[in-house]
Parts: sequence; structure tokens; C-alpha cells
Amino acid sequence: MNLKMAHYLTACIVIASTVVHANPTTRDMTKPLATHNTIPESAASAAAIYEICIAAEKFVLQSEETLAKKGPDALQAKLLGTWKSKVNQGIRDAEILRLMGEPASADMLMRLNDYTTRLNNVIVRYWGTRAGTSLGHKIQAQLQKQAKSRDREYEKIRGMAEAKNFVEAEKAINQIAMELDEVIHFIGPQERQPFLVPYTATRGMIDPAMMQIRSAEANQKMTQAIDAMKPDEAMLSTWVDTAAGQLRSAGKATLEGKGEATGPLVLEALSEKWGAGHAAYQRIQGIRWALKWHRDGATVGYGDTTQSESDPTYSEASAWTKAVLSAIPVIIKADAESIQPGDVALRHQQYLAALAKMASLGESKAVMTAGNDALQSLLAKNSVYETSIKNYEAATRDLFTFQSRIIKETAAVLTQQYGPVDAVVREASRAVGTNPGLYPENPTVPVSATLNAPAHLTLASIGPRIVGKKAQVTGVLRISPTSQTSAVEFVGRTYGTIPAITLPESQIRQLKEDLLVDDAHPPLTFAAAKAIQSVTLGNYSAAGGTLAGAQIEMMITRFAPMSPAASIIVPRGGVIGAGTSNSMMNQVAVRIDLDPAWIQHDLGIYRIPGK
Amino acid sequence: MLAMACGCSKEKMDEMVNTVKEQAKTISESAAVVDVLPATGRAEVKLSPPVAMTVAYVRLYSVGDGRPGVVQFTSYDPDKGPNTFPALLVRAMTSATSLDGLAGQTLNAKVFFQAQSSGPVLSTGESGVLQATVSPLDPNVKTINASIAAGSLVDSSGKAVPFGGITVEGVQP
Repeated sequence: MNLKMAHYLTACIVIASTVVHANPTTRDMTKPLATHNTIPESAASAAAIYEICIAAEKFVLQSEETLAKKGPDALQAKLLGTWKSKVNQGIRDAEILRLMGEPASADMLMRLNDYTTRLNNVIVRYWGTRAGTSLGHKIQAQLQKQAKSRDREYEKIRGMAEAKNFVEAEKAINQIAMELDEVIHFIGPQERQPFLVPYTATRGMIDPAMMQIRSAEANQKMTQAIDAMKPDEAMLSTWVDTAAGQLRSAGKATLEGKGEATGPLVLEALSEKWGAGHAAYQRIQGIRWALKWHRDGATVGYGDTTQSESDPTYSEASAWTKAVLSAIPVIIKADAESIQPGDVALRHQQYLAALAKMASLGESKAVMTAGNDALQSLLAKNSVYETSIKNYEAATRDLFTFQSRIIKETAAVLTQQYGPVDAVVREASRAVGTNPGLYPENPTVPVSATLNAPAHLTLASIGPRIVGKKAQVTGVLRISPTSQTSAVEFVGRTYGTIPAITLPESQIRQLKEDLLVDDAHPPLTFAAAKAIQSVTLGNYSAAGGTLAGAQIEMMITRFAPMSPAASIIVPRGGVIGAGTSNSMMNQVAVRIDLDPAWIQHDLGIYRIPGK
Repeated sequence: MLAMACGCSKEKMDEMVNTVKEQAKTISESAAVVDVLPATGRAEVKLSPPVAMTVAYVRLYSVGDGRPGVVQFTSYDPDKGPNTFPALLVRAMTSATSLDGLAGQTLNAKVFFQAQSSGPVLSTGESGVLQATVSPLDPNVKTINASIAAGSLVDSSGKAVPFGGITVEGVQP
């Protein structure tokens, strides 16, 4: 593995951090779906169920092949019974995982239900053999022989249920279920009834209660998880007031863990708090999706709007961002009160850099407006420098205007070749005949990406149709200044990664020259600071290229365990909405890898040579 | 507002120019706009057919902290931006600190030209420049001229669009 690839993989892990499995990708479609582990035991449970899925799939395929090639006599009855039992226990375990709010359960249930049906089909063929008929009689006789002792067991279990000892009762009934499942499918439906009736009746005394217990427990744990990570606006307000007070009186503020800081560093610390809160709300949104399904069942959602007022997480995330944005002028204006005229220039330039960095992460215009207005109070302390700024602005403004018109023209042409990635992925992800997709073949109403078939089979169907398509993405942010990978913002149901692209040195030099910038002369306007920071850090407003890979993830799992580093895929200030979906438990996100052909920055579109 | 309206009497114009000079002097004590010429000039881009513009402005901007100055010849009011069409911008870095100092210099200029608001922008491209020769100030005509010899601009797709020359005349104060 070369260094570049190693960096790339590390970055991918950052994006995929805190998930246990890696999700199926076009490079390895057999990978199981990840879990979010808001309820910690879910990861181990999911791993165990997927193990059953993988082994069961292998056995079912082998059995079908044996049947096709050698006929029913060659089937191994004991193994068929064992796997029928294991698969059915897997289904029960997946139902429990679903109660934990894990959407991987939807994938598992589709797989396991398919395997159990296919095993039935094979077993039915075995019935017709002489050995099958003989085995059926033998099993029926054996079950009759066991009936009395079994009745005593049922009696005991019902006693446990009446004493509300449901956990032990469930263990005991599951044991019986597994034993019955190994044999009962070898006798006819009518003959099974005497043995199933007492089982079903006993089960009926346990399952609803256990579902209620598990629901309440999951509800409590998820609610606790949300409460523990909810950003504290009052604490933010106190922090801002304290820092502003110190800046006003002493020109510096003491920040926890950072020591004394000037205003621009306080602004950077504010930005970190903004980011932490933003990341928390992404997780809260994911957990709430799981929780909402949990509370209301699979039929109630947030409606068909994206980021609407009816989405509580959106309202809260907006309020958090509003609080951060309103703190920007408080900090700058407080600093301006104590600043000496001789310090204005450097401080102003540092503020511009800090504001440009903040703006690249979200709410660009609002950050700029809040910052620019407040910076006037700083500039008022040095009229000579203020005049310099006005001249700089006048000397660079028309350049931006013309370049943005050229970009618009170029982008209009490129858009004809490179469609918006979510639309491209959506088109390539429709079902086609019997090949499963995330969208219906001919949708009559707007729908969000839905897991309609097992994830690995879905990806096998849509992956080849996605890879190789041309598409354009927006919001390209380098994961870190040294990372070889950039993240692509989440739009619709798509997000992704793209190798980090840096403009050729000569072009960066030219752009700096155009903006009168060199190492000793930083940019003097917000627009220039943002443009320079974009090309030097490798953050771009858009990029286009060929889709090189795709991965299927469940929406809840994408968001509920999201790391702060990965939260850059959603621009700060919002959360992703539930869209048209009623239940987020089966909703899918597609992560794409883009091989870029061009990137768009604030002063132009750069075409990568050879692409 | 530093730019001048057109169609004024000579007396009125002189008065306005003096006012502007005073304003410019005040602003430019440390940096600022070091010289301003009122706009009654003209410009022409010799495309096929040629495009003539009946006003042209020139401004020299100096930030005053050791950065190069920027001279901009424009066919539009520089305070309002390139929002009247045809819109021409000839932009170059210079070490000159006054418009007088520009006289006789040959500048590496970036050029932007947009004939119509909905039309394409022609430019010198990402890193291209054209040589603009600034003619000495003529105190009688009160203009400062920039002329660019025949060459080509590029459209947004990178396609070359040849032209027979560009001239811009800004009026001296």
C-alpha cells in the first residue's frame, strides 16, 4: 500500500469512525452493515447475527445446489434442521436488535427471512423422499413421546411469566423453540399443530411483555444518550460573557486548557464550541430517528419536509448556531474597546483568517455579516488602516465580480456533463426489473433512498450502475490541512469523499498576486481571506469527476454515532431532515468516492490535467 | 462619491474636479486613492465588429503597507462595479504612486470584457496577461491612455477570441 492510499484509508476511517462494521462497498460488497451502538450490547449482538447470516447463506446456497445437481436424496436432513433452527433464532435476535434502534436489523431480517423460506423449500423437497417420509414419522413419534414432559416445561414457563420473570421465561421458551425448529419442519403442517399450539400460547405470554421491557429500556438509554450530549446554551452564553468581559478590560481572555488568548483565538475557541454542538446535534438527530421509530412504530415520521420547523433537532441546532453567530460581534466588539490603534491591523487580519475558517464550515454569509459589522468597531480605532482596507476592497472587488461571472458560465456548461451527485446516484439506484434498488423503478411520488432488499444484494445491483458515472459535488472540505482526503457534504441521501486536490503552486501564486497577498501581506477583506484560505487549504465550493466507488449505509447509523471529525459532512447550522420517509429505520445513505476532474474555488474553476 | 457625472459645463466640471482633488488629498494622506480622474473618457475593444464605450474611468489604488498599487481602467463607474454594459476592466499591478508616475509604463494587465449583461465574459484567462502601454498624460486633452495591441482573449471555455486592439482613455482631473 502506498502512502497516499494509507492516508486515504485513514481518512475514510475518520469518516466511518465509531462504527463496528464497515458497511458494504463496491470494493467489498459482502461487508455487513454497521451498528451505531447507542445501546452498547447491540454491536456484539449484530456481529453474532451477521455471522449466522453469512454461514446460513452459504449453507442455503450449498443445499440448493445439492438439490439441483444431485436431487433431494443427497440433502443432509440433520443440517437442514440445525440451520432452520439457527436462522429462526437469528430472526428473534434481529427483532431484539430492532428494538435497540439498530437499522442493520432490517437488513438481517430480510436476509434471514429469505433463508428460512428457501430452507423450507428445500425441506419440502426432502419430504418427498423415502428417507424424508421415514424421518417425518420418526420425529412425529418422538414429539408425541416428549409431549407430557414438554407440557410440564410449558407449565413451568407460564408460571415464570405469571411471576413476571419474563427474562428467564424467554430463555426457556427459546430453548424449546430451537429444539422444535430442528425437527418440526420435517412433519406436515397439520401434524405439527398439536406441538405448536402449546408453544405459541406460552410464547404469547412472554413476547409482548419482553417487547415492552426492551422498548422501555432502549427508550431510556437513547433518551439518556441524547440528554448527555445536548449542547448547553446557557453555558455557552456564560462562556461568551466571561471571555468578552476579559477582552474588554484586559485585551485577553483566559480560556480553559488554552491559557491567555487574544480575541481571534477566542473566536477560534467559539468555533470549536460551535463544531462540538453541531456534531452533537447530528448524533442527536440520528438517535431521535431511532427513538421516534421506537416510540411511534414504523408509521409515524416527521413528515415530508426537509429541515422544517417540525423537526425538533433542526430547531435546536438552528438555535445553537444563532447563539454562536450572535457571540461573534460580542467578542469582536469587546476586544475593540481595549485595543490600541497600533494593534488594529494585525488583529483585524487575524480576525479575518478566523472568520474565513468559520465560514468555510457553514453559514458563510451569516458569519461574514456578523464578523464584518463587528470589525467596523475595530477599524474605527485606526482611520489610516481603515482607509487602506477600503482601498484594498475597491482594488479587488471587480476582480471577484468578473471571476464569479466566468465561474457561473463555466459551471453552467459543466453541469450539462456533470449532474448533481444525489440526482445521478438516485437515477442509478432505481430498481430495474428483479434487480433491487433504493428507489422504485417508476416512482409516482417522491421517495427517499430505502433498503428494499438486503444491503449486499442492493449494492451488487446498483454499485456497477453508480461507478463510472460523471457527477458534481458541493461543499468539499479537506478533513485536515495535511489529509490526503476531502469530505463531500451531505445532500439529499448522498455524501462522500474525494482525494485532496491542491492547485499548482504557480496558480496559487497568481491568485495571491491578484489579491495583493504574500507572506508579509495577508488578505484584507473577508472575500479575499476566504478565497486564499480555500486554495491554500484545499476547500472548494464544488468539484466534478467520475464516481469511483459507492457504499451503502443506514441513515440512522450514519448519524447516531458520528464523530466530531466526520460531522463536517453536514454544513454547520443545520441537520439532515427525514425527507419523505415515515420510518428512518430502513432509510439509506449512499457514500460515494469521486475521482475529480475539476474543482471550483472562489476565483475560478481548475481543470485537473489529464482528466 | 469620487466619480464624476458627464455632461457638465467646463466651470462646473473644474469645480467638481477640485472638490474631488481635495477629497482625494484628504483620503490619501497615508494611503488611499492617490489620484482620481473624472470619467468622460472612452474605450474601444476592436472585436469584429468593434465595441465602443463612451465613458471610461481610471483609478490607482494604493493600500499603503508595501503592497503594489493597482491601476484599473474601467468603462463603468468604479464605485458601482461592472454593472453597466459593455463592461471593460483593464487591471494591472504597478509600483507607481500616482497616475503621473504611470505615464510611459508598460503594464502586465489582466483584461475582462463583457459586452452584454447576459453575454459571455472574455478575459485574459487564469494566468494570462496582456501588455498595456500607458501614454504620457496630455495636459491639454486631460486624458491618460492605455492601449493594448492586437491579441486574443479567451471565453469561459478557454477558446481564444482574437481582437485588433484595446484602447482606454481616462480623463485627467
